[in-house]
Amino acid sequence: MRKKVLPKKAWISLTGVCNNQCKWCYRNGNETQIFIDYEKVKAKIKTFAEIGIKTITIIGGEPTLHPNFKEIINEIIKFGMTCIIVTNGRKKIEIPEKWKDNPLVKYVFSLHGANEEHYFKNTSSKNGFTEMIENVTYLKKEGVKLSVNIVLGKEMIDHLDIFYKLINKLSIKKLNFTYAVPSVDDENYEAIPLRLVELTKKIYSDCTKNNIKSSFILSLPWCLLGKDDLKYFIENKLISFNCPVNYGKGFLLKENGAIALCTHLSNYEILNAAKSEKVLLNAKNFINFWNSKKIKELRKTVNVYRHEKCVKCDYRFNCKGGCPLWWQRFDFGDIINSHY
Amino acid sequence: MTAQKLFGSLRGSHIIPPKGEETGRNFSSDGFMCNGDCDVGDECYCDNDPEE
Repeated sequence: MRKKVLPKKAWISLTGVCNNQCKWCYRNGNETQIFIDYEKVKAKIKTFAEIGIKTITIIGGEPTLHPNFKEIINEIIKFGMTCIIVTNGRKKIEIPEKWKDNPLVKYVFSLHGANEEHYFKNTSSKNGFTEMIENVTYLKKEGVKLSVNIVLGKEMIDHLDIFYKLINKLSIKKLNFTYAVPSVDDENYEAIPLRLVELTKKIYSDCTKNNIKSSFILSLPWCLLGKDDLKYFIENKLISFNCPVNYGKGFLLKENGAIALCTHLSNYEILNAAKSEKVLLNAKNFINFWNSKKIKELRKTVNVYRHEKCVKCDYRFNCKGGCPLWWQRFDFGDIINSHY
Repeated sequence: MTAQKLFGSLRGSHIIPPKGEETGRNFSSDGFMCNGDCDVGDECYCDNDPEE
C-alpha cells in the first residue's frame, strides 16, 4: 500500500494588508484586507504540528502588522516548528528574549529599494527605507537569525551596485535572490525572465567582488543559464528551486482561513474557509483531505514536465521546468531546444 | 478559474513523469541532492548558512 503524502511545510498569510505597495507583488489584485483570526489560527497551528509539519513560513501582506504577530510566532515555536518570517521589516517589533539566538525563529528581510528614493519609487512608502535599515540593525544587534532577500525584476537590476554597497555597510555577508514571478491576476506587470537569467552570472560575480556570498532561488528553467554556467552554479551550490507543490510538500493557509496550493496562487482556493475549518480540526481529517482523489488529481496536473527535454534532464526533480506560473505568460520551448 | 484548470492549461501539462518518479525521490546520479525545502529562508543544501 502506498504511503500517504504528508506536507512538511506550510505558509500562513497573517493578512493581506500591507504597508508597502510593491510594483512586482504577486498578490497584486487579490489581497484580502483582513487579519487571520488569532484563536482559530492557534488551533490550526496545533494541527499542523500533529500532521508533522516542520517549517511554517509567515507571510502577508505584511505579517508584522497583525495585532497578535508575536503570539502567533510563539505558538509555532512552542511546538518545535521552525518559523520563518518574511517581512519588509518596516515595523519595529521588540524582540522577545526567547527569539534571540533561537534557531527556530528566522527573519527574512526583503530589500525593496537600494536607497530612500528607490524604495519610494518601488513601494510608494516615504520612510520605508530608513525604517527597514533601522530594523535590520536592531535585529542584528539582538542576535536574531536573519537573511536578506532581493526580488530580481526590472525595478532592481539598475540599482544592484548600490545594493552591494548597502549590504557591506550593514555588515551582511550573504544575499539571496529570487525572481519576480508575475502575479497570475495582474497582467500589467512586465516580467523580464530572460534578462534576469542573463544577469544571474554577472550578479554572482559582482557579489563575489564585493565579498558578498550569494544564492539564487532560480524559479525559471535552469537550463536557460546555458550548459557551462549551469554546471558552475550547481557545482558551487549557488542555485536552488524545488517547488513543494509538485509533491504535496506544502500548502498555504490564507488570512480568511481558506487553503490554497501556494503563496503565488492565493486567489485559487482549493478549500474554502468553512470547509478548511473542518479539515484542519485534526491531523487525521487533513491527511485524508490531502490524499483525497480531488487533491491527488490536482497534484498530478501540477507534477508534470514543461518540456519534452526535461524528462531526461539530470536536474528534473529540482528544476521541473521552473515555477509553472512562468509558463502561463512565456513559452521557453524554443530556447530550451536551442540550448540542448 | 480553478487551480486545476489553470495548471491544466499550461504548456507541458501532458508530459507526465515516468512511473516511479512521481514522488521526486530519485535524485540525479551525480549526487546532486536537495532536501526539497528550497524556499526563501529555508534550510537547503545551498542555503545551509542562511544567516548573514
